[in-house]
Amino acid sequence: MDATLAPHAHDEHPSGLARWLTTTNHKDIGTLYLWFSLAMFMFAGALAMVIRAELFQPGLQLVDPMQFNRLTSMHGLLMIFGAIMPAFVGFANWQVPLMIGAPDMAFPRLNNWSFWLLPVAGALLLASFFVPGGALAAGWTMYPPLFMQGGIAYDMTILAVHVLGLSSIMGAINIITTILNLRAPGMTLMKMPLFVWTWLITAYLLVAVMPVLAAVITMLLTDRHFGTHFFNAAGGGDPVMFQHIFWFFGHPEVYIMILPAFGIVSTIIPTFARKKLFGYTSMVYAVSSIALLSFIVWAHHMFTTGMPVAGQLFFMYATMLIAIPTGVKVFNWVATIWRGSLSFETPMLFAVAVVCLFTVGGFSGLVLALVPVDIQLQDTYYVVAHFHYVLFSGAAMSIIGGVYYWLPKWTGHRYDERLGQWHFWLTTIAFNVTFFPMHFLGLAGMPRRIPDYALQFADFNQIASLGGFVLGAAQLLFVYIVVKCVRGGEPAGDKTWDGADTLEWTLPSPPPYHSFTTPPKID
Amino acid sequence: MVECLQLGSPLPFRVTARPTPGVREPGLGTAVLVLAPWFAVAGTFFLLHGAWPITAFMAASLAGLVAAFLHVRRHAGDFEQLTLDADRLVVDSHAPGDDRHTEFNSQWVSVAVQTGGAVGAPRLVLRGQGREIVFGRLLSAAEVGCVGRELSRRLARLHQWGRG
Repeated sequence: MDATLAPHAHDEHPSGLARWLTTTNHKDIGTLYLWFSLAMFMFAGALAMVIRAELFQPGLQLVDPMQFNRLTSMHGLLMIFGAIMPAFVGFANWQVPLMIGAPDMAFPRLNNWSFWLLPVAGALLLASFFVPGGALAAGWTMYPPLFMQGGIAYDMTILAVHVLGLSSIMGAINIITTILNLRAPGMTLMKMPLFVWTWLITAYLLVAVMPVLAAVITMLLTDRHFGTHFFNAAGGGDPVMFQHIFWFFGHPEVYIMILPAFGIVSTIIPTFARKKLFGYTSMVYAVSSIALLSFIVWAHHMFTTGMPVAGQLFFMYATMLIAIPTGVKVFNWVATIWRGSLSFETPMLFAVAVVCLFTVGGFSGLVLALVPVDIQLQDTYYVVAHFHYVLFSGAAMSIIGGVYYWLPKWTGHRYDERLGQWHFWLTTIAFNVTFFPMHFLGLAGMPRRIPDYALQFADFNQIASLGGFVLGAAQLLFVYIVVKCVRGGEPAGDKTWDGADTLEWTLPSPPPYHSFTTPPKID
Repeated sequence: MVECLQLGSPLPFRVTARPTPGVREPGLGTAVLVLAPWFAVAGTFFLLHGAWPITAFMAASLAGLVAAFLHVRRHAGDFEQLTLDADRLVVDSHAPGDDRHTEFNSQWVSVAVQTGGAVGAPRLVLRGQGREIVFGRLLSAAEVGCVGRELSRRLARLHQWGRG
């Protein structure tokens, strides 16, 4: 006779500060990642507000040029490594085990270390504002020889990026091991939710390129302090080699920040279209193709550094190839929406906005892939517009949509839908007001990373700044909605969205502290 | 993951704990096959162009991934088993290089769920005949409490029966 011991009604787990410091529970660690990411998002966003305030009119108003460079560099670095990447890792921690029917991540203690390295790195970056010479001002790309001339803050940045990279690699190894080994019986790879697929591929990208970043910043460090000359032309080194190596990491990094976004959108759209995702298999292959192609396009960031025409043509065509799998994905999302039984709750609004606006960013990327055009637009505001359409309306808005989608599951409460819709419309309109004029500024020749500019750029800059302030204020509304939902609200029910069909919706809301201790059977 | 087997009522009572449910043959080959050729090509390229630290960092990253899969494979067969019958309480455990078999007289064994340690997680402590062991390395906190309660209930019944 078999008997099962049902766990006691109340889940037993540590409480208080010890719970959060020592937790090995994937849900707790996911929550920590998401709060950390939100804090960094708000801080790096505040830096952007100062940037837009300075650019509101020509001349120097608020900050000197050096301080302006610090703001742009740290804004980029913190948004990429402090906000977007940790947010997606937070989603992975919460959702991957729940979606594959696993009780936790494969290495729970490693998971704890992966998270707690982040505040250390974040503290180093923030502390660098207060050391002699001030924070990193050489751009988030850390190009030598400029990077060689900085003070101790530059070494702190190297250490912080090392720590962030280590955290990412540990997290990625954990995710790969979890997905390949801990899936519930019956869940074959081609039955996994697309979000899990996108994270599996992203984790591989992380393991593949993070060592490159770690190595190149180590080489910077040894050039600065230990007499090597990897990038020092005076010693026989080559500063352009740094750019090649950096973008060999940097372009896949763009996809590290966008592939999980595709996974979130591919989860939200079928739910609110009440249809299965159109072309699941082609989606998996499209994501894999994008990941593979991301390794052979890096030099499109460097068309103006000088390279043979054959090289320019190769990287131009390789970059344009990425439009094909990306087009497959957009087509599949639209086909899923087509004749669906649609409803437009906040997550769906954000998902549809991501599809539309990311496509705009993708198209401006195609424009920049053309060598003769890129030579004209290199280092102009057109590039700033392009990557904000990719990274804000692609990555950040999908993160926000994902938070609205899963927040009822995580907290057990429904968020305030009316405020959510307000947040969506404010964000989307303000985002376009901020960044669309930057295309025109770039086409007119306004260079990026400058605190002052010629008079003819003033009107579009004022519009962009006003949009930016509204965009920033709208995110305060987001924080309010999230906090309000965490503190209480209308019960969400186990299956908040009637079109949702992934495993996490079979659990109560919020899920028990230990879920899927007995694996679910997948048909 | 815990399986409780009760063969006849009330004894013997058996609890078997394994590391994770649904763990499958580690996909080490798949994991490495995806990355190793890429690392070999890119690592060699960078090595030849003087950027040798990249090759070293790539090798370290791949080694980390392989170590993770080997760890999963090595511990996939771990288990802890507790069997209670009228005379004995037997605890068996298996981990690589560490097989243990402990027997207690079931009339003299005591069970306690202690909360403590660095992480404040509950531990199931079995004491008897001057020995003390901890059971439940592979159990979640909720399962430790659950097994502890069930075991205490059955031991109490057994002790009453012994006195009667």
